[in-house]
Amino acid sequence: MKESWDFGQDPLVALQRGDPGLFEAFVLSETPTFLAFFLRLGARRAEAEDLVQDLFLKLFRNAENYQPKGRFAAYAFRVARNAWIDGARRRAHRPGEGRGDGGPEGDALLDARIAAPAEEPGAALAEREEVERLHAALATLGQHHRLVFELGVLQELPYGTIAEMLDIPIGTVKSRMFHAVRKLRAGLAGGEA
Amino acid sequence: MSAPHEHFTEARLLELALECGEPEAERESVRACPTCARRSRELAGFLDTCRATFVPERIVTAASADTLARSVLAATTREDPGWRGDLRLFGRFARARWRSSFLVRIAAASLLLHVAALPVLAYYGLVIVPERRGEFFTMIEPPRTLPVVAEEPPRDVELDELSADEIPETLEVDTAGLTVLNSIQWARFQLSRGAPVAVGEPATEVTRMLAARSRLIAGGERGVPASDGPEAPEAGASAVAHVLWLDVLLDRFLLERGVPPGFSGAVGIALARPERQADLVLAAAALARARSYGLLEGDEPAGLARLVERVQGPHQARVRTLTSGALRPRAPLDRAWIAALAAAAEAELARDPIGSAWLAWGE
Repeated sequence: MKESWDFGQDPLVALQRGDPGLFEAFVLSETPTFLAFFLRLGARRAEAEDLVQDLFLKLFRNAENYQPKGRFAAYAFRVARNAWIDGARRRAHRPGEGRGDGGPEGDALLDARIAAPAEEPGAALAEREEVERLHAALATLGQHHRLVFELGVLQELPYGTIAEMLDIPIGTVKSRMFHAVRKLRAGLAGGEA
Repeated sequence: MSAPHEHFTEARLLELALECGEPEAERESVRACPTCARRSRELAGFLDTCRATFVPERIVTAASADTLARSVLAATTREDPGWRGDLRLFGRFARARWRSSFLVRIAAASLLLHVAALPVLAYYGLVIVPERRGEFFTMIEPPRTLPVVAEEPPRDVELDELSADEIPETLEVDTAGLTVLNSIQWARFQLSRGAPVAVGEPATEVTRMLAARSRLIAGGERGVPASDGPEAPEAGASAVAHVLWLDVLLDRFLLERGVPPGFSGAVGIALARPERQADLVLAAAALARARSYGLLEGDEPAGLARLVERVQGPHQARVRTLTSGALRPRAPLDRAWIAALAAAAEAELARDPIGSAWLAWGE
Protein backbone atom coordinates (compact mmCIF):
# COMPACT_ATOMS: atom_id res chain seq x y z
CA MET A 1 0.00 0.00 0.00
CA LYS A 2 1.45 3.28 -1.05
CA GLU A 3 1.92 6.02 1.44
CA SER A 4 0.65 8.38 -1.23
CA TRP A 5 -2.93 7.13 -0.75
CA ASP A 6 -3.05 8.84 2.61
CA PHE A 7 -3.83 12.38 3.60
CA GLY A 8 -3.72 14.58 0.55
CA GLN A 9 -4.63 11.78 -1.85
CA ASP A 10 -7.43 10.04 -0.06
CA PRO A 11 -9.47 8.35 -2.83
CA LEU A 12 -12.73 8.54 -0.93
CA VAL A 13 -12.31 12.24 -0.22
CA ALA A 14 -11.70 12.72 -3.92
CA LEU A 15 -14.88 10.76 -4.64
CA GLN A 16 -16.77 13.03 -2.30
CA ARG A 17 -15.49 15.93 -4.35
CA GLY A 18 -16.85 14.27 -7.45
CA ASP A 19 -13.50 13.12 -8.80
CA PRO A 20 -13.51 9.37 -9.47
CA GLY A 21 -10.02 9.36 -11.00
CA LEU A 22 -8.18 8.81 -7.74
CA PHE A 23 -10.47 5.97 -6.71
CA GLU A 24 -9.98 4.32 -10.07
CA ALA A 25 -6.22 4.63 -9.78
CA PHE A 26 -6.45 3.22 -6.27
CA VAL A 27 -8.45 0.22 -7.49
CA LEU A 28 -6.13 -0.43 -10.42
CA SER A 29 -2.94 -0.24 -8.37
CA GLU A 30 -4.08 -1.88 -5.12
CA THR A 31 -6.13 -4.79 -6.39
CA PRO A 32 -3.05 -7.05 -6.31
CA THR A 33 -2.31 -5.86 -2.77
CA PHE A 34 -5.71 -6.85 -1.43
CA LEU A 35 -5.90 -9.99 -3.52
CA ALA A 36 -2.60 -11.11 -2.06
CA PHE A 37 -3.76 -10.02 1.38
CA PHE A 38 -6.78 -12.34 1.28
CA LEU A 39 -4.82 -15.16 -0.31
CA ARG A 40 -2.22 -14.96 2.43
CA LEU A 41 -4.93 -15.02 5.04
CA GLY A 42 -6.01 -18.35 3.58
CA ALA A 43 -8.78 -17.54 1.11
CA ARG A 44 -9.20 -19.58 -2.01
CA ARG A 45 -8.64 -17.81 -5.27
CA ALA A 46 -12.31 -17.28 -6.18
CA GLU A 47 -13.17 -16.30 -2.65
CA ALA A 48 -10.30 -13.80 -2.55
CA GLU A 49 -11.59 -12.19 -5.74
CA ASP A 50 -15.08 -11.94 -4.28
CA LEU A 51 -13.68 -10.40 -1.13
CA VAL A 52 -11.69 -7.83 -3.08
CA GLN A 53 -14.79 -6.89 -5.02
CA ASP A 54 -16.81 -6.62 -1.84
CA LEU A 55 -14.12 -4.47 -0.29
CA PHE A 56 -13.98 -1.95 -3.12
CA LEU A 57 -17.76 -1.87 -3.41
CA LYS A 58 -18.06 -1.14 0.30
CA LEU A 59 -15.50 1.62 0.06
CA PHE A 60 -17.28 3.11 -2.94
CA ARG A 61 -20.74 2.91 -1.46
CA ASN A 62 -19.67 4.31 1.90
CA ALA A 63 -17.77 7.17 0.34
CA GLU A 64 -20.60 9.61 1.03
CA ASN A 65 -20.44 9.02 4.77
CA TYR A 66 -16.69 8.66 4.93
CA GLN A 67 -14.80 10.95 7.30
CA PRO A 68 -11.02 10.70 7.07
CA LYS A 69 -9.46 9.80 10.39
CA GLY A 70 -5.84 8.82 10.23
CA ARG A 71 -4.34 6.92 7.36
CA PHE A 72 -6.53 5.83 4.50
CA ALA A 73 -4.50 2.61 4.24
CA ALA A 74 -5.48 1.72 7.79
CA TYR A 75 -9.14 2.41 6.99
CA ALA A 76 -8.99 0.31 3.84
CA PHE A 77 -7.38 -2.61 5.66
CA ARG A 78 -9.93 -2.33 8.45
CA VAL A 79 -12.70 -2.72 5.89
CA ALA A 80 -10.76 -5.59 4.31
CA ARG A 81 -10.31 -7.28 7.64
CA ASN A 82 -14.04 -6.92 8.39
CA ALA A 83 -14.84 -8.40 4.99
CA TRP A 84 -12.54 -11.31 5.77
CA ILE A 85 -14.20 -11.90 9.15
CA ASP A 86 -17.67 -11.74 7.57
CA GLY A 87 -16.50 -14.22 4.97
CA ALA A 88 -15.13 -16.49 7.68
CA ARG A 89 -18.50 -16.42 9.43
CA ARG A 90 -20.24 -17.38 6.21
CA ARG A 91 -17.77 -20.19 5.64
CA ALA A 92 -18.37 -21.44 9.16
CA HIS A 93 -22.04 -21.89 8.27
CA ARG A 94 -21.18 -23.90 5.17
CA PRO A 95 -19.65 -27.22 6.18
CA GLY A 96 -17.10 -28.54 3.74
CA GLU A 97 -15.95 -25.09 2.67
CA GLY A 98 -13.14 -24.51 5.05
CA ARG A 99 -10.30 -22.11 4.65
CA GLY A 100 -8.18 -22.43 1.61
CA ASP A 101 -4.86 -22.35 3.43
CA GLY A 102 -3.25 -21.69 0.14
CA GLY A 103 -5.31 -24.42 -1.53
CA PRO A 104 -4.74 -25.57 -5.06
CA GLU A 105 -4.80 -22.00 -6.33
CA GLY A 106 -2.26 -21.03 -3.71
CA ASP A 107 -0.02 -23.86 -4.79
CA ALA A 108 -0.40 -22.85 -8.40
CA LEU A 109 0.60 -19.31 -7.55
CA LEU A 110 3.49 -20.61 -5.56
CA ASP A 111 4.64 -22.71 -8.45
CA ALA A 112 4.32 -19.81 -10.87
CA ARG A 113 6.32 -17.62 -8.57
CA ILE A 114 9.08 -20.12 -8.01
CA ALA A 115 9.24 -21.07 -11.64
CA ALA A 116 10.68 -17.65 -12.43
CA PRO A 117 14.10 -18.10 -14.04
CA ALA A 118 16.96 -18.00 -11.61
CA GLU A 119 20.55 -17.30 -12.42
CA GLU A 120 21.71 -20.61 -11.01
CA PRO A 121 19.73 -23.83 -10.73
CA GLY A 122 21.01 -24.44 -7.21
CA ALA A 123 19.97 -21.02 -6.06
CA ALA A 124 16.55 -21.49 -7.55
CA LEU A 125 16.13 -24.75 -5.69
CA ALA A 126 17.23 -23.21 -2.40
CA GLU A 127 14.87 -20.31 -2.93
CA ARG A 128 12.04 -22.65 -3.70
CA GLU A 129 12.62 -24.59 -0.52
CA GLU A 130 12.81 -21.43 1.52
CA VAL A 131 9.58 -20.11 0.06
CA GLU A 132 7.82 -23.40 0.67
CA ARG A 133 8.96 -23.47 4.28
CA LEU A 134 7.81 -19.91 4.79
CA HIS A 135 4.42 -20.63 3.30
CA ALA A 136 4.09 -23.73 5.42
CA ALA A 137 5.04 -21.79 8.53
CA LEU A 138 2.56 -19.03 7.70
CA ALA A 139 -0.17 -21.61 7.25
CA THR A 140 0.43 -22.85 10.80
CA LEU A 141 -0.21 -19.41 12.29
CA GLY A 142 -3.57 -18.74 13.85
CA GLN A 143 -5.85 -16.14 12.33
CA HIS A 144 -5.01 -13.47 14.93
CA HIS A 145 -1.26 -13.90 14.61
CA ARG A 146 -1.43 -14.10 10.86
CA LEU A 147 -3.45 -10.89 10.64
CA VAL A 148 -1.07 -8.98 12.89
CA PHE A 149 1.92 -10.25 10.94
CA GLU A 150 0.22 -9.34 7.67
CA LEU A 151 -0.57 -5.79 8.77
CA GLY A 152 2.64 -5.13 10.66
CA VAL A 153 5.29 -6.76 8.51
CA LEU A 154 3.85 -6.92 5.02
CA GLN A 155 1.69 -3.81 5.05
CA GLU A 156 4.11 -2.03 7.39
CA LEU A 157 1.41 -0.45 9.50
CA PRO A 158 2.45 0.89 12.92
CA TYR A 159 1.51 -1.07 16.02
CA GLY A 160 -0.79 1.71 17.16
CA THR A 161 -2.73 1.64 13.93
CA ILE A 162 -3.02 -2.14 14.05
CA ALA A 163 -4.27 -1.97 17.62
CA GLU A 164 -6.86 0.55 16.60
CA MET A 165 -7.92 -1.46 13.57
CA LEU A 166 -8.26 -4.70 15.43
CA ASP A 167 -9.64 -3.04 18.51
CA ILE A 168 -7.08 -4.65 20.79
CA PRO A 169 -4.47 -3.21 23.18
CA ILE A 170 -1.14 -2.33 21.67
CA GLY A 171 0.55 -4.79 24.03
CA THR A 172 -1.49 -7.58 22.49
CA VAL A 173 -0.36 -6.48 19.07
CA LYS A 174 3.25 -6.62 20.17
CA SER A 175 2.80 -10.00 21.77
CA ARG A 176 1.07 -11.47 18.71
CA MET A 177 3.68 -10.02 16.41
CA PHE A 178 6.50 -11.42 18.52
CA HIS A 179 5.02 -14.90 18.61
CA ALA A 180 4.15 -14.82 14.92
CA VAL A 181 7.67 -13.84 13.92
CA ARG A 182 9.24 -16.34 16.27
CA LYS A 183 7.11 -19.15 14.88
CA LEU A 184 7.90 -18.18 11.31
CA ARG A 185 11.59 -17.98 12.01
CA ALA A 186 11.46 -21.33 13.73
CA GLY A 187 9.69 -22.75 10.73
CA LEU A 188 12.26 -21.36 8.37
CA ALA A 189 15.18 -22.43 10.54
CA GLY A 190 13.71 -25.87 11.08
CA GLY A 191 13.93 -26.54 7.40
CA GLU A 192 17.48 -25.41 7.25
CA ALA A 193 18.57 -27.54 10.20
CA MET B 1 35.37 1.39 31.25
CA SER B 2 31.80 1.59 30.14
CA ALA B 3 28.88 0.08 32.05
CA PRO B 4 27.97 -3.50 31.01
CA HIS B 5 25.51 -3.47 28.12
CA GLU B 6 22.17 -5.14 28.63
CA HIS B 7 21.18 -6.86 25.41
CA PHE B 8 17.90 -5.91 23.79
CA THR B 9 15.04 -8.36 23.99
CA GLU B 10 13.80 -10.05 20.87
CA ALA B 11 10.50 -8.18 21.11
CA ARG B 12 12.22 -4.83 21.37
CA LEU B 13 14.51 -5.62 18.48
CA LEU B 14 11.44 -6.55 16.47
CA GLU B 15 9.79 -3.25 17.30
CA LEU B 16 12.88 -1.41 16.25
CA ALA B 17 13.17 -3.45 13.06
CA LEU B 18 9.61 -2.64 12.21
CA GLU B 19 10.42 0.99 12.90
CA CYS B 20 7.84 1.19 15.59
CA GLY B 21 10.36 2.18 18.22
CA GLU B 22 10.84 5.88 18.64
CA PRO B 23 14.21 6.69 20.14
CA GLU B 24 17.15 6.97 17.88
CA ALA B 25 19.34 6.45 20.93
CA GLU B 26 18.16 2.86 21.15
CA ARG B 27 19.12 2.25 17.56
CA GLU B 28 22.54 3.59 18.32
CA SER B 29 22.84 1.19 21.24
CA VAL B 30 21.87 -1.69 19.02
CA ARG B 31 24.47 -0.76 16.47
CA ALA B 32 27.06 -0.33 19.19
CA CYS B 33 26.62 -3.85 20.57
CA PRO B 34 27.94 -6.48 18.15
CA THR B 35 25.59 -9.12 19.49
CA CYS B 36 22.51 -6.94 19.27
CA ALA B 37 23.57 -5.61 15.88
CA ARG B 38 23.95 -9.15 14.58
CA ARG B 39 20.58 -10.18 15.98
CA SER B 40 19.00 -7.04 14.58
CA ARG B 41 20.50 -7.71 11.15
CA GLU B 42 19.26 -11.28 11.22
CA LEU B 43 15.81 -10.12 12.18
CA ALA B 44 15.77 -7.44 9.50
CA GLY B 45 16.97 -10.00 6.98
CA PHE B 46 14.18 -12.35 7.94
CA LEU B 47 11.58 -9.61 7.60
CA ASP B 48 12.97 -8.67 4.19
CA THR B 49 12.76 -12.32 3.16
CA CYS B 50 9.14 -12.41 4.26
CA ARG B 51 8.30 -9.23 2.36
CA ALA B 52 10.07 -10.50 -0.72
CA THR B 53 8.34 -13.85 -0.48
CA PHE B 54 4.87 -12.50 0.06
CA VAL B 55 5.05 -9.49 -2.21
CA PRO B 56 1.77 -9.26 -4.17
CA GLU B 57 3.45 -9.28 -7.55
CA ARG B 58 4.76 -12.75 -6.80
CA ILE B 59 1.43 -14.09 -5.64
CA VAL B 60 -1.02 -12.49 -8.06
CA THR B 61 -0.55 -12.30 -11.78
CA ALA B 62 -0.91 -8.87 -13.27
CA ALA B 63 -3.47 -10.03 -15.82
CA SER B 64 -5.84 -11.55 -13.27
CA ALA B 65 -5.55 -8.53 -10.99
CA ASP B 66 -6.20 -6.20 -13.90
CA THR B 67 -9.30 -8.15 -14.92
CA LEU B 68 -10.58 -8.05 -11.39
CA ALA B 69 -9.84 -4.33 -11.05
CA ARG B 70 -11.73 -3.57 -14.23
CA SER B 71 -14.73 -5.56 -13.10
CA VAL B 72 -14.66 -3.56 -9.86
CA LEU B 73 -14.56 -0.32 -11.81
CA ALA B 74 -17.41 -1.51 -14.00
CA ALA B 75 -19.45 -1.99 -10.86
CA THR B 76 -18.49 1.33 -9.29
CA THR B 77 -17.29 4.45 -11.06
CA ARG B 78 -17.89 3.09 -14.55
CA GLU B 79 -21.15 1.37 -13.85
CA ASP B 80 -23.34 1.18 -16.92
CA PRO B 81 -26.91 2.27 -16.12
CA GLY B 82 -28.20 0.69 -19.35
CA TRP B 83 -29.24 -2.87 -20.09
CA ARG B 84 -25.63 -3.97 -20.45
CA GLY B 85 -25.00 -2.91 -16.90
CA ASP B 86 -28.09 -4.76 -15.75
CA LEU B 87 -26.89 -7.80 -17.62
CA ARG B 88 -23.51 -7.57 -15.96
CA LEU B 89 -25.10 -7.20 -12.56
CA PHE B 90 -27.21 -10.26 -13.21
CA GLY B 91 -24.12 -12.12 -14.41
CA ARG B 92 -22.29 -11.24 -11.22
CA PHE B 93 -25.22 -12.34 -9.13
CA ALA B 94 -25.47 -15.61 -11.05
CA ARG B 95 -21.75 -16.21 -10.68
CA ALA B 96 -21.90 -15.58 -6.96
CA ARG B 97 -24.84 -17.97 -6.56
CA TRP B 98 -23.07 -20.53 -8.72
CA ARG B 99 -20.02 -20.41 -6.51
CA SER B 100 -21.85 -20.46 -3.23
CA SER B 101 -24.54 -23.08 -3.78
CA PHE B 102 -24.12 -26.70 -4.70
CA LEU B 103 -27.84 -26.99 -5.42
CA VAL B 104 -27.66 -24.12 -7.91
CA ARG B 105 -24.84 -25.92 -9.70
CA ILE B 106 -26.88 -29.12 -9.82
CA ALA B 107 -29.95 -27.25 -11.11
CA ALA B 108 -27.89 -25.43 -13.75
CA ALA B 109 -26.30 -28.68 -14.90
CA SER B 110 -29.73 -30.29 -15.15
CA LEU B 111 -31.07 -27.35 -17.11
CA LEU B 112 -28.10 -27.47 -19.45
CA LEU B 113 -28.62 -31.17 -19.96
CA HIS B 114 -32.28 -30.69 -20.83
CA VAL B 115 -31.57 -27.82 -23.18
CA ALA B 116 -28.86 -29.86 -24.88
CA ALA B 117 -31.21 -32.82 -25.20
CA LEU B 118 -34.01 -30.74 -26.69
CA PRO B 119 -32.71 -30.77 -30.30
CA VAL B 120 -32.18 -34.52 -30.07
CA LEU B 121 -35.72 -35.06 -28.83
CA ALA B 122 -37.07 -32.69 -31.47
CA TYR B 123 -35.18 -34.56 -34.17
CA TYR B 124 -36.54 -37.85 -32.87
CA GLY B 125 -40.07 -36.53 -32.65
CA LEU B 126 -40.12 -34.76 -35.99
CA VAL B 127 -37.96 -37.00 -38.14
CA ILE B 128 -37.49 -40.46 -36.66
CA VAL B 129 -40.99 -41.07 -35.35
CA PRO B 130 -42.86 -40.14 -38.56
CA GLU B 131 -40.59 -42.47 -40.52
CA ARG B 132 -41.43 -45.35 -38.23
CA ARG B 133 -45.06 -44.48 -37.64
CA GLY B 134 -46.32 -47.45 -39.61
CA GLU B 135 -44.35 -49.91 -37.56
CA PHE B 136 -46.04 -49.34 -34.27
CA PHE B 137 -49.70 -49.27 -33.50
CA THR B 138 -51.58 -49.93 -30.37
CA MET B 139 -54.85 -51.11 -31.78
CA ILE B 140 -55.66 -52.67 -35.09
CA GLU B 141 -59.32 -53.22 -34.55
CA PRO B 142 -61.93 -51.87 -32.16
CA PRO B 143 -62.57 -53.95 -29.05
CA ARG B 144 -64.57 -57.05 -29.71
CA THR B 145 -67.26 -56.39 -27.15
CA LEU B 146 -69.69 -54.42 -29.23
CA PRO B 147 -72.51 -52.72 -27.39
CA VAL B 148 -74.73 -52.85 -30.45
CA VAL B 149 -74.46 -56.60 -30.98
CA ALA B 150 -77.72 -58.45 -30.55
CA GLU B 151 -77.60 -61.44 -28.31
CA GLU B 152 -79.91 -63.47 -30.48
CA PRO B 153 -78.94 -66.89 -31.90
CA PRO B 154 -77.36 -66.98 -35.33
CA ARG B 155 -79.77 -66.79 -38.16
CA ASP B 156 -80.52 -69.78 -40.28
CA VAL B 157 -79.47 -68.84 -43.77
CA GLU B 158 -79.51 -71.26 -46.64
CA LEU B 159 -77.28 -69.96 -49.31
CA ASP B 160 -77.92 -72.91 -51.51
CA GLU B 161 -81.49 -71.69 -51.84
CA LEU B 162 -80.41 -68.43 -53.35
CA SER B 163 -80.88 -68.05 -57.02
CA ALA B 164 -77.90 -66.63 -58.83
CA ASP B 165 -80.25 -64.40 -60.77
CA GLU B 166 -82.14 -63.06 -57.79
CA ILE B 167 -79.27 -62.16 -55.61
CA PRO B 168 -77.83 -59.41 -57.78
CA GLU B 169 -81.19 -57.71 -58.08
CA THR B 170 -81.67 -57.87 -54.37
CA LEU B 171 -78.26 -56.51 -53.74
CA GLU B 172 -78.68 -53.71 -56.23
CA VAL B 173 -81.89 -52.69 -54.56
CA ASP B 174 -80.72 -52.97 -51.04
CA THR B 175 -77.13 -51.87 -51.03
CA ALA B 176 -77.91 -48.15 -50.97
CA GLY B 177 -80.32 -48.49 -48.09
CA LEU B 178 -77.99 -50.75 -46.25
CA THR B 179 -75.18 -48.29 -46.79
CA VAL B 180 -77.08 -45.42 -45.27
CA LEU B 181 -78.22 -47.45 -42.34
CA ASN B 182 -74.87 -48.97 -41.75
CA SER B 183 -73.15 -45.64 -42.05
CA ILE B 184 -75.19 -44.33 -39.17
CA GLN B 185 -74.64 -47.45 -37.11
CA TRP B 186 -70.93 -47.53 -37.77
CA ALA B 187 -70.50 -43.87 -37.13
CA ARG B 188 -72.27 -44.30 -33.83
CA PHE B 189 -70.21 -47.34 -33.08
CA GLN B 190 -66.93 -45.57 -33.90
CA LEU B 191 -67.90 -42.57 -31.87
CA SER B 192 -68.71 -44.78 -28.91
CA ARG B 193 -65.40 -46.66 -29.16
CA GLY B 194 -63.08 -43.91 -30.26
CA ALA B 195 -60.60 -46.56 -31.31
CA PRO B 196 -57.44 -45.19 -32.84
CA VAL B 197 -55.78 -47.09 -35.61
CA ALA B 198 -52.28 -46.25 -36.75
CA VAL B 199 -51.19 -48.33 -39.64
CA GLY B 200 -48.53 -47.49 -42.13
CA GLU B 201 -48.18 -48.62 -45.69
CA PRO B 202 -48.35 -52.42 -45.62
CA ALA B 203 -46.25 -54.51 -47.92
CA THR B 204 -48.51 -57.38 -48.85
CA GLU B 205 -51.91 -57.68 -50.43
CA VAL B 206 -53.59 -58.94 -47.28
CA THR B 207 -52.09 -56.32 -45.06
CA ARG B 208 -52.95 -53.62 -47.59
CA MET B 209 -56.56 -54.65 -47.42
CA LEU B 210 -56.54 -55.01 -43.66
CA ALA B 211 -54.90 -51.64 -43.25
CA ALA B 212 -57.39 -50.03 -45.60
CA ARG B 213 -60.17 -51.61 -43.63
CA SER B 214 -58.72 -50.34 -40.36
CA ARG B 215 -58.33 -46.87 -41.78
CA LEU B 216 -61.92 -46.87 -42.88
CA ILE B 217 -63.15 -48.01 -39.51
CA ALA B 218 -61.06 -45.32 -37.89
CA GLY B 219 -62.68 -42.74 -40.11
CA GLY B 220 -59.69 -42.34 -42.36
CA GLU B 221 -59.42 -42.04 -46.12
CA ARG B 222 -61.26 -44.45 -48.41
CA GLY B 223 -58.39 -45.27 -50.64
CA VAL B 224 -58.66 -49.02 -51.02
CA PRO B 225 -56.46 -51.35 -52.97
CA ALA B 226 -57.33 -52.20 -56.52
CA SER B 227 -58.77 -55.63 -56.98
CA ASP B 228 -60.04 -57.79 -59.79
CA GLY B 229 -62.92 -58.90 -57.57
CA PRO B 230 -66.31 -57.33 -57.20
CA GLU B 231 -66.63 -53.75 -58.23
CA ALA B 232 -65.55 -51.29 -55.59
CA PRO B 233 -68.17 -49.00 -54.08
CA GLU B 234 -68.40 -45.58 -55.62
CA ALA B 235 -66.28 -42.83 -54.17
CA GLY B 236 -69.29 -41.29 -52.50
CA ALA B 237 -70.38 -44.48 -50.82
CA SER B 238 -70.23 -44.74 -47.07
CA ALA B 239 -67.31 -46.10 -45.16
CA VAL B 240 -69.33 -49.13 -44.21
CA ALA B 241 -69.88 -49.97 -47.82
CA HIS B 242 -66.14 -49.92 -48.33
CA VAL B 243 -65.56 -52.00 -45.25
CA LEU B 244 -68.00 -54.64 -46.38
CA TRP B 245 -66.47 -54.62 -49.80
CA LEU B 246 -63.05 -55.17 -48.27
CA ASP B 247 -64.47 -58.03 -46.25
CA VAL B 248 -65.57 -59.57 -49.52
CA LEU B 249 -62.10 -59.06 -50.97
CA LEU B 250 -60.53 -60.69 -47.96
CA ASP B 251 -62.88 -63.61 -48.15
CA ARG B 252 -62.00 -64.00 -51.82
CA PHE B 253 -58.37 -63.98 -50.92
CA LEU B 254 -59.07 -66.67 -48.37
CA LEU B 255 -60.91 -68.83 -50.80
CA GLU B 256 -58.39 -68.46 -53.60
CA ARG B 257 -55.54 -69.69 -51.44
CA GLY B 258 -57.24 -72.55 -49.81
CA VAL B 259 -59.03 -72.32 -46.57
CA PRO B 260 -58.10 -74.16 -43.38
CA PRO B 261 -60.25 -77.08 -42.30
CA GLY B 262 -62.40 -75.03 -39.94
CA PHE B 263 -63.82 -73.16 -42.91
CA SER B 264 -64.76 -76.05 -45.11
CA GLY B 265 -68.43 -75.10 -45.05
CA ALA B 266 -67.79 -71.72 -46.59
CA VAL B 267 -65.35 -73.19 -49.02
CA GLY B 268 -67.85 -75.75 -50.06
CA ILE B 269 -70.37 -73.07 -50.76
CA ALA B 270 -68.13 -70.61 -52.52
CA LEU B 271 -65.96 -72.97 -54.53
CA ALA B 272 -68.92 -74.91 -55.81
CA ARG B 273 -70.06 -71.75 -57.61
CA PRO B 274 -68.75 -70.17 -60.69
CA GLU B 275 -66.62 -67.09 -60.11
CA ARG B 276 -69.46 -64.59 -60.41
CA GLN B 277 -71.70 -66.57 -58.13
CA ALA B 278 -69.01 -66.99 -55.53
CA ASP B 279 -68.77 -63.23 -55.33
CA LEU B 280 -72.47 -63.03 -54.86
CA VAL B 281 -72.36 -65.59 -52.11
CA LEU B 282 -69.67 -63.63 -50.38
CA ALA B 283 -71.57 -60.39 -50.82
CA ALA B 284 -74.62 -62.00 -49.33
CA ALA B 285 -72.48 -63.26 -46.50
CA ALA B 286 -71.27 -59.70 -45.91
CA LEU B 287 -74.85 -58.49 -45.71
CA ALA B 288 -75.75 -61.27 -43.36
CA ARG B 289 -72.73 -60.41 -41.34
CA ALA B 290 -73.86 -56.81 -41.07
CA ARG B 291 -77.14 -58.08 -39.77
CA SER B 292 -75.46 -60.34 -37.28
CA TYR B 293 -73.54 -57.30 -36.01
CA GLY B 294 -76.85 -55.80 -35.13
CA LEU B 295 -76.43 -53.03 -37.68
CA LEU B 296 -79.65 -53.69 -39.54
CA GLU B 297 -82.09 -53.50 -36.68
CA GLY B 298 -85.02 -51.19 -37.08
CA ASP B 299 -85.93 -49.87 -40.48
CA GLU B 300 -84.48 -52.52 -42.70
CA PRO B 301 -84.90 -51.84 -46.39
CA ALA B 302 -87.54 -54.07 -47.82
CA GLY B 303 -85.17 -55.66 -50.29
CA LEU B 304 -82.73 -56.60 -47.62
CA ALA B 305 -85.48 -58.06 -45.48
CA ARG B 306 -86.48 -60.19 -48.42
CA LEU B 307 -82.90 -61.26 -48.93
CA VAL B 308 -82.58 -62.22 -45.31
CA GLU B 309 -85.79 -64.17 -45.48
CA ARG B 310 -84.52 -66.00 -48.52
CA VAL B 311 -81.25 -66.97 -47.01
CA GLN B 312 -82.84 -68.03 -43.76
CA GLY B 313 -84.33 -71.42 -43.88
CA PRO B 314 -83.54 -75.04 -43.32
CA HIS B 315 -79.77 -74.78 -43.99
CA GLN B 316 -78.98 -72.95 -40.82
CA ALA B 317 -75.72 -74.72 -40.07
CA ARG B 318 -74.11 -73.78 -43.35
CA VAL B 319 -75.01 -70.15 -43.07
CA ARG B 320 -73.84 -70.08 -39.50
CA THR B 321 -70.42 -70.99 -40.80
CA LEU B 322 -70.35 -67.79 -42.77
CA THR B 323 -72.13 -65.40 -40.43
CA SER B 324 -71.20 -66.57 -37.01
CA GLY B 325 -69.34 -69.20 -35.08
CA ALA B 326 -65.79 -69.76 -36.14
CA LEU B 327 -65.96 -67.53 -39.18
CA ARG B 328 -67.86 -64.53 -37.83
CA PRO B 329 -68.35 -64.24 -34.11
CA ARG B 330 -69.95 -60.89 -33.51
CA ALA B 331 -67.05 -58.61 -34.21
CA PRO B 332 -65.64 -56.87 -37.23
CA LEU B 333 -62.66 -59.19 -37.25
CA ASP B 334 -62.57 -62.35 -35.21
CA ARG B 335 -59.54 -64.37 -34.33
CA ALA B 336 -60.55 -67.36 -36.37
CA TRP B 337 -60.91 -65.23 -39.44
CA ILE B 338 -57.54 -63.59 -38.86
CA ALA B 339 -55.99 -66.99 -38.29
CA ALA B 340 -57.51 -68.23 -41.51
CA LEU B 341 -56.10 -65.24 -43.37
CA ALA B 342 -52.76 -65.77 -41.74
CA ALA B 343 -52.70 -69.42 -42.66
CA ALA B 344 -53.68 -68.64 -46.23
CA ALA B 345 -51.07 -65.94 -46.65
CA GLU B 346 -48.49 -66.95 -44.11
CA ALA B 347 -45.55 -66.28 -46.34
CA GLU B 348 -46.81 -62.82 -47.25
CA LEU B 349 -47.80 -61.79 -43.78
CA ALA B 350 -44.57 -62.97 -42.25
CA ARG B 351 -42.62 -60.72 -44.55
CA ASP B 352 -43.69 -57.42 -43.09
CA PRO B 353 -44.03 -56.16 -39.51
CA ILE B 354 -47.69 -55.30 -39.79
CA GLY B 355 -48.53 -58.76 -41.01
CA SER B 356 -46.60 -60.19 -38.06
CA ALA B 357 -48.61 -58.01 -35.76
CA TRP B 358 -51.83 -59.32 -37.28
CA LEU B 359 -50.64 -62.86 -36.75
CA ALA B 360 -49.77 -62.14 -33.15
CA TRP B 361 -53.14 -60.49 -32.65
CA GLY B 362 -54.93 -63.47 -34.09
CA GLU B 363 -53.23 -65.96 -31.78
